[in-house]
Amino acid sequence: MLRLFPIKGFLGTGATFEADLNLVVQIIMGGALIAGTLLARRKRYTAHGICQTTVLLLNLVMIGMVMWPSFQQQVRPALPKVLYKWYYAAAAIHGLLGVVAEVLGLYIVVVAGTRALPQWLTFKDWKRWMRTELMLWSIVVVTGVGTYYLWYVAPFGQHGVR
Amino acid sequence: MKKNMWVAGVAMPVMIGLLLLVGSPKLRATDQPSAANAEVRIDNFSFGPETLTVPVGTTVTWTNRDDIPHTVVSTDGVFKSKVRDTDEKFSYTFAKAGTYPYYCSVHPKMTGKVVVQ
Repeated sequence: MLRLFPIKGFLGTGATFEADLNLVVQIIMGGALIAGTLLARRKRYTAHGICQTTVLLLNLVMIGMVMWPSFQQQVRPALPKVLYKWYYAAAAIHGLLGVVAEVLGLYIVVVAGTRALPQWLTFKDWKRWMRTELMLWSIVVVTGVGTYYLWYVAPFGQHGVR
Repeated sequence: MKKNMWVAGVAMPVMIGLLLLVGSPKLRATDQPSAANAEVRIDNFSFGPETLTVPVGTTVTWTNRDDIPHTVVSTDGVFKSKVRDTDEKFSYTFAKAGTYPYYCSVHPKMTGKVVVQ
């Protein structure tokens, strides 16, 4: 069987390599978004735009490579009857908020960086939209870390499995 | 005396032959154990038993007794289950002797081994 990545993760938890890679990338991207916000405060808008757009596009790659397949494989077939279990609920909340954050982010990028949308679909209150996006993204990162903990840390720590 | 020799010469080989006929199925059963079914329980984020030894032709069934999903995936790509939710099963028949390590692709810390003899 040809695998792109090793089976086991590198953080010492019960996670797969993809899950560990995704966690590290997401935390770095969270830091990059905050750095991008600081760039905007210093009025370096081009650098700000490149930074935030890069994070959004990289996140699309991580969604396609790790999170969406994992959600499709493990969570979606069991929904909605298992939402009372935190194992599924955390992933579902994270997935839902994550999709909203990604779509909102892409929308902001398109409005800010192109003239592709008609006037009535654009906005001018930049700060409010971008702060909303940053807040939402932060919540998504926290729920993502929570999902990682519930899936790969808590079960093995609690039960003492290897 | 002649009669005794006839008994020894004819009756004894017949008796030995009969004994061999009766005894041979038992010998075969000992040498080549018949294939059966075996169970592995997935519980508490582990496979139990972790190492299972079975004869060739055995069908092994994994049952997920955990309240979260697991998979059973051969490290060498011999078999691969879909995600199994609580109480769902996966079976595979081992037609060749060998050692078959496997793991849960969702939680790769969960590992097990089937030894087929």
